[in-house]
Amino acid sequence: MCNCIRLGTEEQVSEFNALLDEYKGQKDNIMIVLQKTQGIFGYIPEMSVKMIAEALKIAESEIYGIITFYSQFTLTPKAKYNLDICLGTACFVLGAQDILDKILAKLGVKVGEMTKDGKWIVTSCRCLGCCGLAPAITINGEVYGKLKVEDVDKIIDGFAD
Amino acid sequence: MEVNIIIDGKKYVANSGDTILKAAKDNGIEIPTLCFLKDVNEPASCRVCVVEVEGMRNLVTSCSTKVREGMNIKTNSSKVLEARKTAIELLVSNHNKNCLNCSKNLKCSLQKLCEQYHCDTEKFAGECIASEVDDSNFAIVRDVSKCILCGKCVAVCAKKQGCAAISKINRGFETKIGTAFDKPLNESSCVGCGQCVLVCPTGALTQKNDLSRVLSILGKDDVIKVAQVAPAVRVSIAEEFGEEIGTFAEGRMVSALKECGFDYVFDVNMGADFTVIEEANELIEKVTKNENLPLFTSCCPAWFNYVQKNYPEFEKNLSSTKSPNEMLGSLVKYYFESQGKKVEIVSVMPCTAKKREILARGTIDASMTTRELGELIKLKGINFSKLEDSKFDDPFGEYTGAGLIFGVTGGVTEAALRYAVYKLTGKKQDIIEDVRYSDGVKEVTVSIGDKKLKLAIIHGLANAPQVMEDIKAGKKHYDFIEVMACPGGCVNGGGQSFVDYSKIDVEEVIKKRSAAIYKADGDMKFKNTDDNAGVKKIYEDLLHNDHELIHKLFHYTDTKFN
Repeated sequence: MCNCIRLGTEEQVSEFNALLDEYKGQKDNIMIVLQKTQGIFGYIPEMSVKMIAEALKIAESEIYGIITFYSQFTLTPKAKYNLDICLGTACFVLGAQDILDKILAKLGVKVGEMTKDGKWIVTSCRCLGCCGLAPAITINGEVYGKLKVEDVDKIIDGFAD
Repeated sequence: MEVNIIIDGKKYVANSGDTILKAAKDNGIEIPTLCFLKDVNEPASCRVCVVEVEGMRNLVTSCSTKVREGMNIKTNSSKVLEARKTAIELLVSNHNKNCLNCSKNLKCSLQKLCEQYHCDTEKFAGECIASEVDDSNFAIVRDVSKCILCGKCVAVCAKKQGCAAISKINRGFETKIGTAFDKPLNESSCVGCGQCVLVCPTGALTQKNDLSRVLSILGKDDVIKVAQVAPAVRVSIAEEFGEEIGTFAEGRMVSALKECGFDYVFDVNMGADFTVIEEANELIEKVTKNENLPLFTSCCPAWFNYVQKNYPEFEKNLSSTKSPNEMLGSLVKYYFESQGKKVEIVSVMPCTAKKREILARGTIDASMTTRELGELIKLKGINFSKLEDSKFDDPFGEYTGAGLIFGVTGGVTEAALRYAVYKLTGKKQDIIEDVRYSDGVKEVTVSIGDKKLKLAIIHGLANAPQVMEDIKAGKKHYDFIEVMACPGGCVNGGGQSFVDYSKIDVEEVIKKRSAAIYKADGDMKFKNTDDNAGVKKIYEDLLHNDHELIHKLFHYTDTKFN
């Protein structure tokens, strides 16, 4: 199955194939299959939808309808590091926008776009709930607070692997 | 069991399982609907069919509420009318109201209801759905800004046509009808049958309009302009002018085409007679050699497309015999060009998918649907109902009942059987009822002399996969399978006249138009292709029985269709 290469790692693909075998022909279990697929890949790859459609005997268009209906599903791949920057009032007045600009320039992406190496996605939010640490960001859930523009290089370079 | 009900003060008897909508319709009482399509789409979501039932606190949707003994129903009380008005006003609140530029202008169910219920289309003015036109498909154009999300197209595509090219996608205000991954329609599983266009109550789904192309052909002075018309068009074209569904208007249709400026009007029925001969011979050959069976008919372009997209392993089973349209087109081109004359051909088809067939094959210059022909006749200012009858032109105007019945499901099979039985046994059997319309897949075994042939007849593409899977698994064997993509065959083709399905069910439409075809077949002197003297003359005088030439003109040399 040459298509699988585009899906994910070998382990992910074999886990996914086992999932399809388990739910073969079981149209009614589409939600479970989609949830598990997202569990395996971190998102729902386009190619996987084709394979689910074939295995469960549901039209691709219908599956796409389900995916886009529920906010729990995502069609965009997750990066290794998800950087979420707070643009809420406290962070914003203390210079979050400058920090965001710096981050985007450093990574060469726009908000919501993944870096070419698949390492980073930058998203923004309205409040992280830690205004005392403003301006703040989280990287994979871990908070970095009281930031200055000069800190950005150091923090990101710290994830060099 | 029967129940007694009262509708608008009058007593009626209804079947206990029926909905209020059905009971009302059976008694000639009109209730408007937008989302209801019997047995296919019954979501009770548009809310325009609401009625008042005595003793019930709220209005009920008549399409989903069953009648009960003693029910007292009001279909047109002030409360009902006000509720319907509001429902419609809400439906148009985010609708693209550029009606004058819409190809469904004056044919739109939503527009008609707005007019009937005196709606204020700006009452709930607010954000509208952005126009997003997808004209990537060869025949079908989509514009989500005109969609009211009734879901009929989605249901018909999945349940009747087995394609499921489209679905409801996204959520809330963003909800729209779209393909998987919201790709252009031509990258989806759509085969272009046009059934979605037939059921769309608004201008969200329309067919590509080739009128300007036809007009430019008609404007040429240096070419012979030929129109050729498919069997099923003649039982629908009169509907474009407000006449009864299933009016047989062959003679007036020919006159109209002449008045439109065509030099010759030829009959695709004659092409069908050629198809009968070639396909029957192909079948006899394949059965004798036991090669690539079953033989699938290939005259339906949506079916051809479906096989290529879903069952490429069966492409070799598709008949190499050209469709009647392509058959006649090739003959007409050969006939005029061998005399050194330039000719351009416009075919009139009950079909949207034919637009793709002619593009792929490159013989015919334009293909218009029955609806487009209606538009052309109106554009030219011709009074259709007052026209005298005319006859099709020689030498491609002579046909038998066998050619005519290609327009209904089972017709190709019946025509081929009439011919094959005669050829193999010398007996003429004019009517073969066994193969005519039935729900789903029809299987028939026919004995011709000492040969037994196993046939299947399919209409509505959703019925095809089971048969294909059974053949693949070796569970079933057939010699010949006729497939027409549209339910009922071409009489209910995606290019036929629009019908208001809130007034008449699809099955009734199929019945009426088919009856007109069978009536004309019954009235014909000759019902067997073998009796078509014109066909014989062409084989002998025009083609000199030159096998190589005949093969070149009458058969596809490859199965490519893209």
